[in-house]
Amino acid sequence: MSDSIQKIEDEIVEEFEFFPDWMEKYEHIIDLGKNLPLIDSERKIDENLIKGCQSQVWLDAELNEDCISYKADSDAVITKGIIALMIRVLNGQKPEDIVKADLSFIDKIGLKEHLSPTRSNGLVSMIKQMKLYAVAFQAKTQQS
Amino acid sequence: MLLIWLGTINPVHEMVSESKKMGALTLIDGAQSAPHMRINVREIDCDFYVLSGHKMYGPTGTGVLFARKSVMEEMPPYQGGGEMIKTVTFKETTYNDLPFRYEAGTPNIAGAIGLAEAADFMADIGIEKIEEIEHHLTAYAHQKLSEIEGIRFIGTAPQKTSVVSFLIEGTHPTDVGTIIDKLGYAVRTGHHCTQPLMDKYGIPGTVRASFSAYNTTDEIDGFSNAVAKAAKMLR
Repeated sequence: MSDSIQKIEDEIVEEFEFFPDWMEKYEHIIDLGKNLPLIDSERKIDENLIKGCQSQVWLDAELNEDCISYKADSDAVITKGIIALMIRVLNGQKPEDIVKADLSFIDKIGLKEHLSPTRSNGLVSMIKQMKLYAVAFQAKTQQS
Repeated sequence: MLLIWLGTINPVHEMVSESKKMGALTLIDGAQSAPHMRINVREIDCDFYVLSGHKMYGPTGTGVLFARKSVMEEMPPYQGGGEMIKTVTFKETTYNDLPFRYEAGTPNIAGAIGLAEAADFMADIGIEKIEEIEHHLTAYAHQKLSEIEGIRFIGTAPQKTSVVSFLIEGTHPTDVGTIIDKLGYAVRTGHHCTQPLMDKYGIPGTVRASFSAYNTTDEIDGFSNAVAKAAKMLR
């Protein structure tokens, strides 16, 4: 059983407080990006591309025993780092919890204000797509 | 007239003269040229020439549309409003003289005054002087940046203005842009709205630095160091 979304968010906020300036925070995001497990190349298809991102971002999700597991990739490493944070928070969680998650850690670590407007819009698209998967899986589970 | 991310100066004189042979009217988008070089619409012999105020030190929301008088005389007004009508009777409406018949309603007066000031500012420095400074800065930037391992310049036409577009092997242009932005250097990144040309080069986008007459070689040193640092972090 995974930790709750809130607990992981708090951990990330604490982790980012450890880096005093934004260059170090970026270095950390880049490291996370470099270590993000790769998505299978056959899943890097146009249907899995997130619209609204300046760099290419692929997102795929599946339901395993009531919990969602996400996989994602990008051609830009900072984007990959941001995806890695999102995946860390939402991976292995139940669809209903993902739908409800307010993801306030993004504001708390100052990520949005430190991104360019296009990147920030991309982040919003990414969150929207992750939540859409959760809504879809939730509907599917309720039907069955 | 210019390709916005390559900086290539296109041979507009020849392009206009070839177009005329086909009987076409010609419009030159000079938004990227006006800040950098002397423009003579008579020499180019185009029918229309447009430029953008905010790209030549002027206020946003301003610009210039030059149109050849003989073409304007034949065109109907595209918009109605104050000051564009001379007389109105039940029989007919007569439009005002040129250029007023194309300037319906209350114009952007403050913007126009600002744009005129910007043009005077450029004239005071002298466009040849601006060209000389920018040429020097661009050459210096090329020289400094070429010291960075894995750099690839995109757009190295012999006739070009003061933009330097590049990629760094093993990095994404958006990532480079984000890091150097944090270090205090503003650049444009991405596909610059020219995807077909990006596809031709087989690249996802570029980082583009633009230089203006107010920049200095010290700033280019700092910029070049920032790019080197970004490359190191991202690879």
